[in-house]
Order: sequence, then C-alpha cells, then structure tokens
Amino acid sequence: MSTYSESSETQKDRFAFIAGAGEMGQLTREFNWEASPLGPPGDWPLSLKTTVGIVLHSAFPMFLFWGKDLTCFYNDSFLPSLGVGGKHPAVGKPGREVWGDIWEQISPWLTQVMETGKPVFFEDQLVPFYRNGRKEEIYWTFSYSPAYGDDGTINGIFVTCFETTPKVKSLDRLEDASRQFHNLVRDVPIGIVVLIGKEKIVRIVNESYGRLIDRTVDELQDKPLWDVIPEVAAEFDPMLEGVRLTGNPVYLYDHPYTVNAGDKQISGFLNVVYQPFREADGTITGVMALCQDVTVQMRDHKKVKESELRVRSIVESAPFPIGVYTGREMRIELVNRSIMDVWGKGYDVVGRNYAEVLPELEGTGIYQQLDSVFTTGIPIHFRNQRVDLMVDGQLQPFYFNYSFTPLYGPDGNISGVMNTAADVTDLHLAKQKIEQSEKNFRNMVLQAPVAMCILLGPDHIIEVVNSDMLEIWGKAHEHVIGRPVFDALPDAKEQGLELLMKQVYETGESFAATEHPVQLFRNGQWDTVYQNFVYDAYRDSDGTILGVLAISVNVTPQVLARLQIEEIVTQRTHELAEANENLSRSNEELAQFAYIASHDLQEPARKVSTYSQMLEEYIKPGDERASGYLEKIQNAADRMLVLIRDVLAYSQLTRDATTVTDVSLSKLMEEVVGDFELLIEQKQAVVNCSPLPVIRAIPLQMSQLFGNLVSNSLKFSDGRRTPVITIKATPATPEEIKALAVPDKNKAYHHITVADNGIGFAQEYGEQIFNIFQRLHGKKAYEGTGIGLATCRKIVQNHGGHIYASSVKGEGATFHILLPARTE
Amino acid sequence: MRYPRIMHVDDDDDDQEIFQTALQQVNPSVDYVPVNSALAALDQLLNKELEADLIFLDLNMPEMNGQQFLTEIRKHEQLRGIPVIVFSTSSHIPTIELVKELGARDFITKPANFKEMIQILKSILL
Repeated sequence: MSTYSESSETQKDRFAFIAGAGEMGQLTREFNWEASPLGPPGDWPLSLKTTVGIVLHSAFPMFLFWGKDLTCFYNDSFLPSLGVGGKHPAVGKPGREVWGDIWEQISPWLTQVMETGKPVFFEDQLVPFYRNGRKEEIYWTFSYSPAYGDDGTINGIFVTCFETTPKVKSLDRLEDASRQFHNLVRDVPIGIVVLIGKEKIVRIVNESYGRLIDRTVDELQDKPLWDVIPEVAAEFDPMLEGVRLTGNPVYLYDHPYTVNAGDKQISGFLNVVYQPFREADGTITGVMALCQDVTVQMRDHKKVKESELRVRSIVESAPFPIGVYTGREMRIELVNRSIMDVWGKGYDVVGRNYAEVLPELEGTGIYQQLDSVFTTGIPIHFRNQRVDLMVDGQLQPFYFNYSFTPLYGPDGNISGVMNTAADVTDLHLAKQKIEQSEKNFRNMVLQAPVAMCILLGPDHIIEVVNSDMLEIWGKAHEHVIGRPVFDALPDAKEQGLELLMKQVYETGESFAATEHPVQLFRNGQWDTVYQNFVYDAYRDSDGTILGVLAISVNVTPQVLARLQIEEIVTQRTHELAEANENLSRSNEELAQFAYIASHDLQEPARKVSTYSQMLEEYIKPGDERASGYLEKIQNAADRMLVLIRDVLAYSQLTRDATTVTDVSLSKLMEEVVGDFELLIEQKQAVVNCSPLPVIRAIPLQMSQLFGNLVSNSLKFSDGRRTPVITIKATPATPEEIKALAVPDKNKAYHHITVADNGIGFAQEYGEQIFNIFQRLHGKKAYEGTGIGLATCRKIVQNHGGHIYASSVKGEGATFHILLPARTE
Repeated sequence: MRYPRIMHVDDDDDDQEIFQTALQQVNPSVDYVPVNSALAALDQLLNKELEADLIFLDLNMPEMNGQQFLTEIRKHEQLRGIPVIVFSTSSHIPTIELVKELGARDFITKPANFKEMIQILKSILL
C-alpha cells in the first residue's frame, strides 16, 4: 500500500483497469471503496485489479467474489441475470448479503472451490433466486473457479455463467409433455393409434383402440396394422396414405366399420380423426388416428334422432300452437305453423330469442313467466288470457289458453321451455258476445212492457222476472228470485202448469194459450187470473234448452168484461127467446083464434047468403023493394064471406119451414098467368115475363104473392090502353141492399119487379097501401077487401125479404120485391 | 038414377035443410037420408036400418067426426063400397088430402050461396 497521496493522473491510472465497461464500470468506479474492507482500488492487489478488469470488460456474463467478505463484482452482461427490482446494484456488497436467498445452496460450492481450488461446473442447474420482484426458477450452466491473489493464495471465486432456463424448461416441458402424452394415450377413452410408415406399423396404441377391434395392446404394438385387421385395409388405407402424404387431416363421422375378431364380427360406428404424425423435426412419418366409438350414441342418437323427428313431426302437424325455447335466453328452437300464424311470423324466427321476436310482450309478465318456469321447473297454465300481439303492424288483442312447461336435457337439467297454446280469441269474443247478449236479454226481459220471466232447469228456477209478472203473481221480487217457480208460487200448483212447463222444457215445443185461467192467491185472497201466455223453450247459442221463457198478458179485465157481456147477452137472448116464444105462442094463438074465428064466422055468413038466396023464390014478382032489400042482404053476406075468407087466409100465413122448397119462379108465374087466363083474355092484357130465379120459398105463398100482384095489376088497369104487365128479376146491387130495409144486409137478394101501366097511385100512399084493409078507392069503384097487399107483405116478410111500391098516378105502378137468393 | 038414396051426415040442421031444398030442385026423386050424427049413421048403416048409395059427409061433428066415420066405414065390407063425398066448410089442404086417403071419393067445400049448391048437386047427380 502506498502511503503517499494519489495524483489525479495516478488516480486515473489507478482506475484505468476499470475504465469504460458500461454501467457496471461506472458503478464500480463510483463505489465508495474506502468504506469497504477492500479499501480503495489503488490499494488493491494486482490480481484483483486484473481479475476485476477482466470481469468488467468481458462480453460474457461474469461475477467475482473477492476477499473474506466475498465482495461482489460483476459486469453488464451479467445484469440480465439479476433482473430488476432484485439484487442490482450489488457491486461492492458482501456476497452473503447479495446472495442471501440462495446462500445455503451456493455456499458449499463456494467453500469447496475456496478450499480445494478445484473448479465446479454445473449444467442446467436450478438455482432459483429473487429477481424481478419474485423468486424465479432459474436454470444455469455455470462454473465457479478459484481466483488467486498476488500471494498465490485463493482470494476469491471467479464465476462464469449463463442462464439455460428456457432450454431447461423446454426440455422439462417436453419431458412432461411426452409423459403426459403417454398417459393420455393410455388412459383416454378414445382409441388412439399411431401408425408409422407405409406399412402402418403401430408405434403407439392404447387399450381403447384395442377394444374397438377386440385386440390387446401387445397384439398390436409394433405390428403392421393391416396384418391384424386386413379386412378393412382396402377401405381405410387409402385415407391414411392420403393423410400421411399430404399432411391434410381427415374427419369421419358416424363411420361404420366391421372387423373380424376370432370367429366373430365386431361392428360399430366411429368418429375418426386422421392426423399427420410428425417427428420432432416436423417431418410426417405416419398417421395418428383418434377413434371415438359412437356405436351406442349412434344407436341412441338414431333413436334420439328418430324420436326427435317424431316430436318435430308431431309439433309441426299439431293444429294448435307449439313453441320450444331453449336456454334462459329462450332461444326459439322449434315452432310449428300454428304458432307462427298466431305470431304472424315465419320460420325465420328459429334461432332468435323469444323477446327479440315478440317485443310487444314487454311488460306483460310473459318473459318473467318463461323465466320462472325455466328456473323453478314448475309449469304455468293460463286460461283466457288476453295477449296483445303485433299483427300487420298493429297491436291486436287475442285470448289464449297457454302453458309453459319445462323441458329437461339429457343431463337432467332444465334445458328450455315448451309453450303450447290454444287460440280462444274467437271463443272469448263469442262468449263475451253471448254474455253481453244474455245481459241484454235479461235487461230486455226486465224492461219489457209485458210480463216475462225466465225459468231455468228442470225445477224451473226463477232466474229473471220483471215487475209486470210479479204483479200478476202478486209476489215480491226478493220472495221469488232464485227459487223454483212452484215453490215461490205454491198457489199455482196443480192447475196443469207443471206439465205444460215440463213438456216445453223437454220437447222444446212452444205452448200458447189464450184466456187461460189460473187460480192465484194474491193479496190475501184467491183470484182467478186470465192470461194470454206463451211458454217458449229458452235456449243457449248451441240450441240446448236451458229453461222456459214465459210471456204473459193479463187479460182478466177483458175476460171478465166479456163474460159479463156474455152473461147479459145470454140473459137477453134467453129473455128474447122467451119473448119470442111468447110472441110466437101468442101469434099462434092469434092465428088459431083467427082461424077458428073466421071459420066459425064463415058458417053464419054462409047461411045468411044461402038462405037469402033461397028466399028469392018467395019474393012476389014485382016487389022491387023486397027484391032490393034481399039483394043488399046477399051482397053484404057475400062481402062478409070474402072478408072472412081473406082474414082466414091472412091468418094462416105461417112461416112453416117444412114447406120451404126450391121454387122456380118462372114456372110459378106461368101457373099464375094460367090461373088468370080468363081475366087476361077479357082485358086483352099482355104479360111479359123475363126469366125468374129459383128460390127457397113456400110455393103456395109465392103463388098467393104473385097472384095478388097480377090480380091487382089487372084490376087497376087503365081502360084506355092495353094493360101490359112486365115481370123482371135482377140480382140486387150492394147499394140497393144497403139502402133498402132488407132484414139481413149481409145476404144476397133478388130484385123482382111487377110493373103495370094501369092507373097507378100517388107515391105518398106507397107505404099505406100495404096496410091491412087499406083501400085507396071506394069499394064500389074497385072491388077488393084491401087485404091483398098486406098479404103480399106478410108473405115477403115470411121469406126474409122486402116489398115496396113505386108509382106515378095515372101512369102505372111497379111493385119491387126483394127475396133472398139461394145460398149454394 | 045413379044414386037413389043419398045420405047426408051433418050435425047442422040448417045445412041439411039447404041441402034438401037444393036436392029437391035438382032431382026430386032422390031419397034424402039426413043423419045428425056420424055414430048414429054408422050404427044404422051397419044394422041395415038405413041404406045409402051416396053419402055426403060433414067433418066437424061432435062425438065422431067425419074422418073417424070414414075410417070406420072402411072396416066394414058391406059399407066400404059406398062412395063418400066429404062436404065441409074447411078448405084446409092437409084435411082434403087426408080424407081422400081415408077413402073419400071427393071433397067439396060447402058453398057460400044457394046457386052454387044447385050447381054442385047437378054435377054430381046428373
């Protein structure tokens, strides 16, 4: 050690051996060597300086331990090995301090080198130490060599090293990989075989492969494969060769194979991958075949596929909507035509999520329902739910019965949800309509202005009843509603209504009645209520009979009134009949009296006449006075007889129905004219008779009628001209019937006229002349009793007709006779 | 002479007187047999007290009337053949028909005057 102070040149000289040398050079120069046991570099032994110089300037990673503290020196090349955040900078520090974490490991080596002087060399040695913030597994190839001091003793250890971590790791990995690979090959349930070369020598094979062809590993190892299973060589070798030569892998799926094993055959299905097998240098020397036995799966798969197809087909053809959604996201997996029609979408929905396809269901709770079924596995069923769907750009209301049921995957977990539905929109709307219409009907019933009630079921329970009906029943609403009608109205029982209602309810045939009396106990008394009522079958929209609809009109007032009137009428009729009877009896008596009287009167009259004639003989001829008196007696007697006779005839004019017959008036007129032949000839009269009808009449009386009229016409003829009597008949016109005093204006009549050109009469006497004994002329001028026309009138009246006369004095008279026409 | 004996059954004496007077004028030779009662006439005819070739019969008589007499006469063979002319005041057609049915030959209404009486008898007897 020098004692004299350094000059700067000396200093420079002194550090010349550590000039440059990068970072470490700088750090080494700047280190405060005074504080270290080595002292300042100027004092260092030459060997140290030399060695440090070599280390610092070497391009190879080097490290130096020097001195009893094993003070550290290293170069830039060594820096990487120290990493960052670790030991660097370590120059000048004692070795133990720097390498504390591995001191246990390296210290023996260092000691050994220090003591023996024999260097140590390690290749790929694991010396992990703290670096880059953590303990790293570092592999080194390194040597520790002794570093001699000036005195020839070992003063330190010279380290050269380099990291071989990557290589080592690779090698390790390779080894691991190789081991793993072998294990894998051995254990994997896939058949693996590595075939080398054209001959397809089996280099690697596992048991799984062996099982596929029922061979042991030993039977296959190192053998040409086609020696073992030649039967499939033709099929598979070309493929293998292709892979081996081109390096392109081949994939086979569900590939069938059949090999011989002993005296049996093994068949199955494989998924196969043929890959080129490369050596470490990358050359393809063979083929690695990975064979997965999918025989079972194939069969299962086939079954599954078949069942899947079946399911698909069922779903597809189902006439109601079905959708299958998988996953929580409810991805639409399967849909049928029906559901697509409901959604108004096409098959493009498959693969999309439910929420994406039906966004309009947001907020309706349906997404949540699907999710809850997927989560809990509890199916959900809804009936008559309103669901608004977007159809043709518009939200339209639908009603569905729908279900979400969980679907399970092969692993037993819920894989999705099946959605079935039935579109009950029409049904719902129809039901609503029906309900509405039922409500309307009920309202109508309640508001109807006639009594109405609806009775349901076989017990005729009062379902709806309006106030009019309650009034008829005399009951309060709350007393009857909901009760069987014959419970609510026990007073209506056993009057035949139960049977009527039963018939209507069972057969559906309506029953109607007018003025049907029912005894009801109302307001504390028994009333007879007359009703026009109808029982109709009350049906639902299918036509099924639900009950009975009763509509009723209380006609009691009318009926009672009518009954009263009828009673009165009956009474009056009775009275009338009695009166008639009395009348006819008295008429009869009168007739009888008249008959007897006239008959009895005739006798003395006759005798007077006869005896007075007999007396004639005894009158002295010339006794004019006696003759005259006698003549007067005779005349009077004659007149008396005629009168009596006429009265007798008049009194005998009965309406004896037994003598009514069909009378041809034409024929009758012929006879009458015949009767008056003498007189007609005498007066040179002309009788013109048109065709006359046939009527129902008493022939004798008709003779009398027309006889009297003809007789009158002849009697009252005008001497200055030829008497012409015209007889005609026409049907009476409605106006005539209306205007004239015919007994029955509803009948048809014949209008017969007997007209003459005689002396006529003043019309003012037109009525009078029909009076009995009425004469318009003195008996000297025209003979006649005056009964003739009265007789005519009585006869016409007897026949239900009417007679009147019209005349102009001096010009003739026309007698009009209306007689009823025959009813065919 | 067609009818030598003419019986007249009539309860009325006056009618019988008139008849007789007329008959006298027409044919005085005829035997006029008046009987007041039909019953008596029947009796007397039956026991042959009386005989007649022609009977003029009134109808309205007490005890037995003309219709009954006609009925009775027919029951007896010996009397049945005697022609009966009903001579009555009645002009009732049913009566006329009935007596004809009962066997009367004719029906004549008692005339109202004497001259007619003569005519009737003349037409019958001559």
